[in-house]
Amino acid sequence: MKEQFPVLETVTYLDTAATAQKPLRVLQAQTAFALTRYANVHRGLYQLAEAATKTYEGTRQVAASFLGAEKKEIVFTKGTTEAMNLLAHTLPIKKGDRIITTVLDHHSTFVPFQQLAQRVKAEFIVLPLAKDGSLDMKAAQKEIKKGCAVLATTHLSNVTGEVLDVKQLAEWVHKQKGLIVIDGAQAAAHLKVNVKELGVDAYAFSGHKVYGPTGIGVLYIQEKLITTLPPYQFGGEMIDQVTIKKTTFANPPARFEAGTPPIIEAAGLMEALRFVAEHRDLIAKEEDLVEYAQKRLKALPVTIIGPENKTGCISFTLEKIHPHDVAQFLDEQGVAIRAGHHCTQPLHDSLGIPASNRISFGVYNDKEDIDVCIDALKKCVEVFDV
Amino acid sequence: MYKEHLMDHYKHPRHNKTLENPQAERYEKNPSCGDELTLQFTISDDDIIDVGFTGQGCAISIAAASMLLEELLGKSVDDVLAMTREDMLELIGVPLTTMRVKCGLLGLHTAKKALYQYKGKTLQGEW
Repeated sequence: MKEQFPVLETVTYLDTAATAQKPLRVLQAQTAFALTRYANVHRGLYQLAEAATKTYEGTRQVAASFLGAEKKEIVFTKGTTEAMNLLAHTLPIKKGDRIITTVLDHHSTFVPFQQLAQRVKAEFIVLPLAKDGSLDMKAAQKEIKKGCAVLATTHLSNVTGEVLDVKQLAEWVHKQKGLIVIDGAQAAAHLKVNVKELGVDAYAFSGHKVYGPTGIGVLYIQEKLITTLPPYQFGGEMIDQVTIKKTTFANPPARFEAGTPPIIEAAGLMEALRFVAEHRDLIAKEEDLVEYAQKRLKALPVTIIGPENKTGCISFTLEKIHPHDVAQFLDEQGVAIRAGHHCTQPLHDSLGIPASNRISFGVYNDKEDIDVCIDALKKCVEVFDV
Repeated sequence: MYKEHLMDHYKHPRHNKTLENPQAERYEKNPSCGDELTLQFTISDDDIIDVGFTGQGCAISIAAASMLLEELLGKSVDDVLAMTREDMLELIGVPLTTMRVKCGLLGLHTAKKALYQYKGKTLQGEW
């Protein structure tokens, strides 16, 4: 596997939750497309444009299959952040409605919906964690029961590694006639996602976290909802007819794809989604890595954040050593791990810490990477001698 | 980056104390990483005759504050106000990566704010 990722010869990369390294085959697919089939999509009548459109729309089909959805329910975005902004600007939320998020949420979900609440004077409710560091499902049920116009949260926490019971949340939300929209940025790389089984109204992920290119993401919006939403941005491609007096808009998904889309990136994304689908066995093995890493970490003076059961990442603090020092020291040992608040300041505030360290895993990681990381952490503890 | 000199200042920070009657005092925080420093100065005839700091943070911010105070003791207030970020980075002596420059400069930033305040002025601009 590592031969698909030449950069891994130079670094022990344990920051896949931030972005995944790109396999050669994805970059090759992208290059081959750009060199032989590239033109603008949905416009030209010539064969090259036809070929480009075929690839672009082919990716939409692959993305739909990836999520267990229909092609007409798939919108291409710049990434999860844009998807959440699109939803926060188009969902029918009005004054006095209850918008619910959780303290676990990444700023890309948290902030758009916080701002939506402020814009329309809706109530903004942030669900807390239970004592074990997992989402407090009792509080969730209670708050949703009081009314919920929309629940926006994550499928898989990018800090605690908790997989939320999205299916259960969706049931509760739908009982209140509300909508549930899910940030799948982490989950798409680690879990087999089926949006219909989960019962969610919208689900978003980013290309770059599933071994694909930056600048493209996938947003699923269930068919009934997508046809009712107004445009998010205006321009070419998203219109039906334009006159001096008025404009009518195209049907979804084109309605939400104003301007020239990320075409070359779409070609890369298609290959990336195939890559993920073909490596489900390796992705399943990441679970063993998480378990192994957690076991080895526990032998060090660490506090691990969140519940015991984790997928994809482990966040922790090393006793008395600032997370930035830990990450910097490890970098000097050739190990790339994350330090900071990982775009979850409300979560870190609730834990009473400014920052933490995080190691996260991808298909290319193995036990040896964990051993190298643990050795570096041990050395860090020695050098800082606290 | 974690050279012996820097680690020595981190593990054994100089002037890590609270002063009795400081003429200038200032608390500053680096919100992006949570580093916090309080700097105090005893000043006589515009000369800094005693210094102290308390706080918490990463090795860079603590070691830099310690090195800075060692340097400032005995200087005039105006000398300190004339110090630049380049002076501070030189004092630290090891090259800092972009993300860590703010940690290294927190001490000087706090000292300047304290001393401007002492002179009845406000520090203009960012660090």
